[in-house]
Amino acid sequence: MEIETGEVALFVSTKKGFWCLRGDADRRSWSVEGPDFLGHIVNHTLLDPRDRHTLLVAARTGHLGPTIFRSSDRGKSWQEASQPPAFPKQEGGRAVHHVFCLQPGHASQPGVWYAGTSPEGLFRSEDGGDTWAPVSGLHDHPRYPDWTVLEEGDGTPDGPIRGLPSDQAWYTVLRQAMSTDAHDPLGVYLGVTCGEVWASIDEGEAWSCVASHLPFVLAVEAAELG
Amino acid sequence: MTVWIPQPLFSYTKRQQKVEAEGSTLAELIEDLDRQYRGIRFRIVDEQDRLRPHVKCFVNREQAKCLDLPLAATDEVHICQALSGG
Repeated sequence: MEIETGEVALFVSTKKGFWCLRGDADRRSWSVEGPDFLGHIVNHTLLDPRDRHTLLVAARTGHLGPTIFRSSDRGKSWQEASQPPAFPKQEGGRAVHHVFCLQPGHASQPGVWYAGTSPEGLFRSEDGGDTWAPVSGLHDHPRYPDWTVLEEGDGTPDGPIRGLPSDQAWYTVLRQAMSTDAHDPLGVYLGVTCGEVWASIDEGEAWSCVASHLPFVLAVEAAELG
Repeated sequence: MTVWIPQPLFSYTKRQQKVEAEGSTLAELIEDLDRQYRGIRFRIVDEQDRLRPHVKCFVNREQAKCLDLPLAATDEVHICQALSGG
């Protein structure tokens, strides 16, 4: 797959791979290219808006765990992250099931990316997606256990009543509930299914609840109003 | 010892189905595989050092129950991945 400058491309991430739809000049006709990563569950694909060349793909490789693939040449070639998002090792610790959302960092910080995961986690890369580390400001937040501990009998068909959604719920609920803005330092925003919106205005170091008692949050999108 | 690799991991082993690796336990064997084929360990074992749910390892055709299982140089190890889902 190769994307030319000036084209409009639609990145279609599917349960069985990644397809690219390329539009003609007037966007009336579309060619379908792919798949790449045939057989992999591709959760999100994003072109870096800062250089318009780097592509990141969040994939779950069948039964073989989650990873990130990177392309620095618009999809001609791909490299797997040498250190994909992973929780720290600890007794009873959790394992990343999949990355549901990728977000680029600020325009002044080329190579910085954020990855939202299920189970609930936020990871940051500073080298274009090759290595990832947990965002401790979120993972060490005093409220973090409230979001992540699921009590027995607390579930609904769409996930738990409180806290971030359980495994499958991320597919339908929180895929669009992570967003970043264009400020410097970068703002990162998360919607929680218990009806809270959490914001960090320092790239994930510190977090505050900016809205609560909302209904089940489905999506959060940061918009820059002129 | 000889290690048989499942097809979904051929991309790590340069398309080889059968490779050689060393280790006195299954955990050490997988570490050695990762030294030779970078990234393959995380496909088999998660960050909490647990075998991924749909990955099974067999030593001399007996299923390994834990990564601490002792190995001998003459053992033959099969790494298998389940097929399921849709």
